[in-house]
Amino acid sequence: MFADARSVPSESTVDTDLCIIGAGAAGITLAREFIGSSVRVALLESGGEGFDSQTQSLYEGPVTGLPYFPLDTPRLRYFGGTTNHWAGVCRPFDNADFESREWVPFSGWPITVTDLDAYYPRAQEVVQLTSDQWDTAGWVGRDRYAPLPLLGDRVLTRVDQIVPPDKRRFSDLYGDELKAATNVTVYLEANVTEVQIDEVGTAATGVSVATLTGNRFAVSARVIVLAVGGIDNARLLLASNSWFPNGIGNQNDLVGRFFLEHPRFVAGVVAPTNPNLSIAFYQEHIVDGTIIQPRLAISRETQEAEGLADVQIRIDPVHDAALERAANSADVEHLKALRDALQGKGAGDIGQDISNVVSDLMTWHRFTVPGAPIPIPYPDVMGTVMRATPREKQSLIPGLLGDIAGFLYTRVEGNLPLDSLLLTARFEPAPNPESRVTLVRELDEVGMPRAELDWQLSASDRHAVRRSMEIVGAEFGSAGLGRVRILFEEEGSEWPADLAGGFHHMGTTRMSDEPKQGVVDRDCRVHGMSNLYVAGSSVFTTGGSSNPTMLIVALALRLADRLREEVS
Amino acid sequence: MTRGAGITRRRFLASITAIGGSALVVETRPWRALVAFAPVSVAERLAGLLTHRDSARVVGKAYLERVPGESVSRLVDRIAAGLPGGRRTVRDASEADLRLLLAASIRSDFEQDRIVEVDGWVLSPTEARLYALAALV
Repeated sequence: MFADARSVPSESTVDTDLCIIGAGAAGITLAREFIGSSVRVALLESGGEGFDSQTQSLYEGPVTGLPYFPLDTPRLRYFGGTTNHWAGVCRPFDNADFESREWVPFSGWPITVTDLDAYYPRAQEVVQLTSDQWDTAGWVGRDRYAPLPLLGDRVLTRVDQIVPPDKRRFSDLYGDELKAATNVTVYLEANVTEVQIDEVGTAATGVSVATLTGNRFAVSARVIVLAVGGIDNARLLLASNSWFPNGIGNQNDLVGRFFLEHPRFVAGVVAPTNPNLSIAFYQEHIVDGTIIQPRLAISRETQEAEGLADVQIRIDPVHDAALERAANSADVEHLKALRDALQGKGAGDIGQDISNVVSDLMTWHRFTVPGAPIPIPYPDVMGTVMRATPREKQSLIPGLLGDIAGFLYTRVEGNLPLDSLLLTARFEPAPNPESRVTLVRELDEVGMPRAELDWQLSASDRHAVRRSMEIVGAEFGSAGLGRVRILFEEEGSEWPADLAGGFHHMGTTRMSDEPKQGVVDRDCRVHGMSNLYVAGSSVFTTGGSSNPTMLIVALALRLADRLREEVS
Repeated sequence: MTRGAGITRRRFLASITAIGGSALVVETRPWRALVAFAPVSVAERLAGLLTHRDSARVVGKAYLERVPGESVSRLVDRIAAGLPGGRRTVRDASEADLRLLLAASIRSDFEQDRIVEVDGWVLSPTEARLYALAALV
């Protein structure tokens, strides 16, 4: 059921078994695992069911160190959390991601990929992926496009799957289920300001809650899980300083340190030897109903031989500007809109029909009425038009009769001729204790100290990207695909101006067996606390090669299994 | 950061695709003094494989700035060393065969991770030396 925290009387205490703070991917996944059980669950969400700027502003905080987004931009503070703007990119972390690598400082999780074997398939269901195919070879052959014919084994192609846009918001997917659950109460507008602990400092007893309308109450629970994201998990532990002056779990000054992102920037450009080189395989596209996004990556063997962290590379085409303008004209957008509209109605394999129609357009001049003042598409094309709704026709017909030439060119060639390729490197940064989240004195509207982010990278990161680009350059040259120009120098401390993150906040409550090396143990329990857990990417020991959401969900499912015994 | 191409893409492409060229061009250049004792005919034969000589010179000059101390003789020796038969092949092989052998040598460079960077471009040393020859002869 849903409840509005603003209606909970001040100074009251809500008693529950399991208190989960944060209704994003981790919190919702965890709460769902207890639906229908005898466990009483309180899921506390700061926001409501939709975006609210006042609530969102609770995320604001200063940024120092490397340039980064304003802290209220990468995440969303309402039911569903950051899944509300999730791009849907999925790939499980693999074995190497969890291993200790001597060339990656502070690497090595206390768990292995085997510990997640049982959870990845379930995570796949939670995030609504329909395929468990993660080997590139499993896509090749089924795909109408092919990977680049690179010859060696140093650079390979890695395939991410993308959740369809209409299945990304956990609020849409699981909101009704949680509303109907009698043993789960989702408290909206509930901002947790502190975790309360017992008099000996080894167990959490509950949390303090404040709303923007001013009422304050407490939630007492047998088990508490923080699931408020990679920045605010640390913020909440640090701000919970009534008993421990430096915050809970921070006896070794590790809470908030090791902040990780997945940095990316345009690291290279390719001058292709063949302007008609097809890189369609590397563009987001659908294969057998699954959206995939392949990327180049440095093989694990080469990473080990060269002492490199993981680097993967997105390939984007750069076309002649005039052709690009034509292909992206409003007319073509009309065609695409029609295709999308018809596909959305489930009109069979209409996507292929449209593709055929579009292919027909290659030879549209053969299907025009001689002497007509404007070209008229032939019956196949018109058939498609006739199947459209009046509104769709309104947008389609002008499109068909308009600036079609550029689009025809793209269909004839399969691709616009390339001017160059941009290589955007996205890399796994080495965990760096100086990259950190701390608190500032300024309080937000509910009295919580704001978080400050000091994002830092390391010299080894520069080397990993630079050397990876050299390897890619050699492989492109060897295969005769073109020559690569690397756009940044290894020396120096300045990063390229287009350096950015991916809204992936990781590492600030990292997992370790030893309390001196991390904040939570292999069960995601805060070191030194018996019943306080952390869910989400803040527990990641290293950032890995893949987007974090699938692992966040897998770890939440694993945590649920751990907690079942403890709470029951 | 080395953004902002000193060598335009067009020039660069022209040079790397010109290895298949066949024009034999003998030109007088200020650098001739440097090559007084060099086997000019062999050097010019190699450089003559490049049809887009102007582009090759641009890349070649950039390479020479990066690797000072190169001479025509040294460049020829090093290019020839990557070919079966060495200098004799450069002298006697047909242009078609020479192009094929050079292409194989360039590929081998990349495969063996022998690379040189010229203004950020990841090149095979063999091709870079060819461009340098074009700049010197």
